[in-house]
Amino acid sequence: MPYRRYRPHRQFGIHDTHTFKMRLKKHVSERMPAFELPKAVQASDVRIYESSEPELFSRQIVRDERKQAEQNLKAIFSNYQPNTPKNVVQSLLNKEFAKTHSQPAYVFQAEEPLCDGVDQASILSNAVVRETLPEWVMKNIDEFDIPEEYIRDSILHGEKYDPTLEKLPIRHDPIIFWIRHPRVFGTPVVKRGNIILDNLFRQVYFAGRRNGKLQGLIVKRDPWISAYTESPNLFGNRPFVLRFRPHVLVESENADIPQLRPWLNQVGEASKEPLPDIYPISPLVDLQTDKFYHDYDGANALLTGIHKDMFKDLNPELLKDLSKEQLERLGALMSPNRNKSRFLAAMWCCERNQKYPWTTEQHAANAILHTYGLALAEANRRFFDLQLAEKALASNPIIMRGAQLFEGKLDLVTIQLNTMHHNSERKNFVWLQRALPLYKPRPYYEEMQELGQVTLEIIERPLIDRPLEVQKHVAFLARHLRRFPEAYSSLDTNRITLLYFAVGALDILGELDSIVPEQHKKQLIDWIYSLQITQESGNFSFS
Amino acid sequence: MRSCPSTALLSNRLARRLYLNSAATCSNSNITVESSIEAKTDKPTPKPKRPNATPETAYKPPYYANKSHIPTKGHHWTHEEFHNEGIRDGSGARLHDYFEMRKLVERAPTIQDKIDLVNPYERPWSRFEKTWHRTTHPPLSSPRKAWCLGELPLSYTCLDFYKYITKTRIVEKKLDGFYKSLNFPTEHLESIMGEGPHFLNNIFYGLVGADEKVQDIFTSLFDRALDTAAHNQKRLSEFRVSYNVPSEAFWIRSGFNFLYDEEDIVTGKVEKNYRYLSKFTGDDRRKLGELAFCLRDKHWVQVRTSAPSPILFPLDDTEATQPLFDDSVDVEKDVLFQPMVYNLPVDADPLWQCPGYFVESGETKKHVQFAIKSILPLRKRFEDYYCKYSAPEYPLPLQILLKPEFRGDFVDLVKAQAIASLFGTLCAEAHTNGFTQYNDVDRPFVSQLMLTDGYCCYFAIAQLNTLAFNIQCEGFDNPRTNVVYFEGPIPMVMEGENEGGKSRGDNWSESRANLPFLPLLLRQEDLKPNPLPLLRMLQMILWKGQ
Repeated sequence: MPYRRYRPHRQFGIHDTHTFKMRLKKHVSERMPAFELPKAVQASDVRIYESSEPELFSRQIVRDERKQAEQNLKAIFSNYQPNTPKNVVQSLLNKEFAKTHSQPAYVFQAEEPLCDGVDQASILSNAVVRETLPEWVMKNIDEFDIPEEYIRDSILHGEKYDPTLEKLPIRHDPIIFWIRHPRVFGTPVVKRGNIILDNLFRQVYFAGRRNGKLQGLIVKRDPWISAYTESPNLFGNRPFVLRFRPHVLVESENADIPQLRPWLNQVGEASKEPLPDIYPISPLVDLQTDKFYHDYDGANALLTGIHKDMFKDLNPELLKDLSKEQLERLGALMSPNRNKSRFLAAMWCCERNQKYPWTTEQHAANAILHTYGLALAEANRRFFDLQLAEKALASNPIIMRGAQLFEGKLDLVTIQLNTMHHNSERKNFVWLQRALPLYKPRPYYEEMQELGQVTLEIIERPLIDRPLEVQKHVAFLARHLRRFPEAYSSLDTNRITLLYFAVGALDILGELDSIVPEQHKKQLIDWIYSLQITQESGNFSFS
Repeated sequence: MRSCPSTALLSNRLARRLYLNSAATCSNSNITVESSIEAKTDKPTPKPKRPNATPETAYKPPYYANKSHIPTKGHHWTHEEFHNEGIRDGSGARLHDYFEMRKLVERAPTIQDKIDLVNPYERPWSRFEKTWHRTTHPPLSSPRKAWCLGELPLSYTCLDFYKYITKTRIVEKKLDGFYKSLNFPTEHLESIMGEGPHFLNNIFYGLVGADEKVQDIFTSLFDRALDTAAHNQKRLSEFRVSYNVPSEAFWIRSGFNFLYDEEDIVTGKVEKNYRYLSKFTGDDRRKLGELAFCLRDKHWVQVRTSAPSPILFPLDDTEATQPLFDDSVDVEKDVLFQPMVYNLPVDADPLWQCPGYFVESGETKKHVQFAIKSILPLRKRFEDYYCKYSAPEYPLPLQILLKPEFRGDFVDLVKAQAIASLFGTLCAEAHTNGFTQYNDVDRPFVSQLMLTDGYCCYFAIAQLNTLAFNIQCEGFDNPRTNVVYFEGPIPMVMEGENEGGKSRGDNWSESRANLPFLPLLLRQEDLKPNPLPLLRMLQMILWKGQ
């Protein structure tokens, strides 16, 4: 026999010996000694329940226990002196601002795609979405002088030069799913993207610094963002919480820079534009619910590090010792506009889910809600109160920008936050540019060897509006009038449908007559009629 | 009746014993007992130093002496009686092997091949090899492992050992001399540190148990430092800036033959027992006393450039050949112990030369100009070790941190870490530029490092002069040493003056206890940010030479 198993099917070992079996039998037959309460527990005077008691976990017993625990806590806290500043600070420092609430909130945390895409995001953010930029913005776009070599180098740094060796997920091929691919190590996709975004921001900012057009920007990396709003009109009595972690958060030291000015001043008329209707889908269908979240105060504390409770227990006697400067500083801390810096923009990266990939539309919606969350967070941290924030937004709307990198494509979003309520007369506005190609990445399990073409326009003029490339579309459609590509072989039975779309699209573009001459038209018509089954089509029977 | 051995054979054996056990030579047949005793008591005259071997003078040893450890005692009368020097101390075979290896390295077509060739990593035996191994096969010796220098030292007295294994000396001095040409107005830098996002507040309250927060603060400071110079320095755009980047290296250090010393329990005589003592972990399979070491480090921030950093002094300068230790240090008694004594763990993972990139990736910016590294966990561990029971408050007040006795011990640890990090970076950088321990560097490599624990900063600048210390035998003398210039600690904050014009001094901790609810305000009065760390950081980033 040429092949023989090396390892015996049943291996002889210690467990097969007579001694072992006897010992095991004895061990199993021994009875465990009865449980005795330790002396320390007996001395503590705790009520002990029998485990065989049928109502051990009944509500009454649990309620009694809880009541007892509360009384104990009260006894402890009766000695607590709230006005002692040291205790106050220690309690504040140890305080968990994200706490469990009785009322669950609708939570967006970028884990689930929005099934209806941009329309759904538009309803959730109460924003009118526009895919073209305002004219004055187009005219005033700054152009930076960044050599192409720098941009290519920035991309290669993330895709090729980074030495991280982390365990990457096992590849799943949806077509040949039975193949088991080997495990590979390398840089995770998100880290690659983060490195590229870091580099791109630095290149743009340094170019802006050299031009004198950008100044005083501060970068925070991987901050936790949690934004809170309430809107009974859409969310009922539940609050709406958006929480996520962008990689780069850009803040401006100065609040008076042109980049922070609102894009749209006449909000009233524009707000009359209706939001899209996605009935019968509920806009809330993809949101998660959670009882553990930051409420308004919590979000404020998370984003600023200062909580209004800090001043609640402030002992006025201690203020006597403070100098004038210190009092001024304290006043600045307590004032609503205490944060000099302003959130300006954020950048983050997404990874493709292997089994359930998101569509381009869903990524665009994700970008909109991220940017909306950032704008809300800015409102949260600037004002101590939701009502105060709503009033302030009427006169000073917040402008926020977001850039999302996904598979070498950028989703650019600008949002103007005019209101936090969904039943307000005002609406928010979103300018969206989706999936602008920057470069072509390799799959995550491969290392990039050569970087192909890089679209520099996106970096140099990030807000540029791309016109429809009519000629390329026409060439593409005209090709389909002659022959279909090999990849369409599975659509062989639907050739007539494909032809319908090609001819229809050429007609819409107004190029039908120039591309298709009369003779060709006749050939197409003949071909369509040739597909018709008539009585003269030959011997055609199912028997 | 048993026949007795022939007289000729007896005289031969006697002569061999005399030759081995007395200082007198066999040729002097009229030697007396007194003269032999005198000869023993006299100090041994130092041997004349053998000239350094070259590839031309390192001859191939004969087939029966091609091992580094030839037993010099004659076990049998057929053994050769008078070996030449190269065979007697094993240096002939070792030198020949070394120069053969050099030839191979020089012939290797790519840098990646060179690194693979000198890599001491040995993969574990595969399942197939273990399964089908039979007693008639050669034994499966355990794969070579390396002694790992982790991100931070795990021993409190490892400075001298780190110096030895990296052949690096350390000089403590102010680094102002290196950066004379780079002067910036400190007021602006001071304002940056003061205006940071609750900078002082974070320094004193946000750091407890949060390495990430310190990292945020210092990466933010680094960005601000770049920002201050970005308007007129276009080359900042050409720098490669990496965050959280690994820095890994491996090397071999010789001089660990003492690990094969064995003391005779009867005579008390210490002899090498290469034959029966098992191979020490990390050593070559030939038991050469050459241990493999590796560094697995991580930098918060790393700045790389395409052009090499300017050198501090050329290789033929006398600075490059300064001794590693003072005369007061007895290296064999005080420094050389096995690495386990210094808590170095054994590492069986693959070894890399990675100064922030792998050479096969085609990275164009190969030279590490500057890096920032955290020593916060080290400080916390040292605090626990130093004053766990004496210090009531945590974190420690600045006064305790700056106490001389605390500082002395702690700074020694920081120096050890500076040596390890800088040597690792430079060793890997030299390898990725085509130099190895077999073909030594022909030009120095320079890099700079900032170490910080959140309270204080330490700065170091290092020059790599040699890598060839993986062989130690007669005929190979390499006097060059590497050097690190070290400065610190520089506190991140300095005590300001109050209204009376006097420093708060001892009342500092008291006032802190009175008003802790407004740490920001309090710090603004009592302490003010020290611009020097930021200034030094900026100088190191922009340094173009003296």
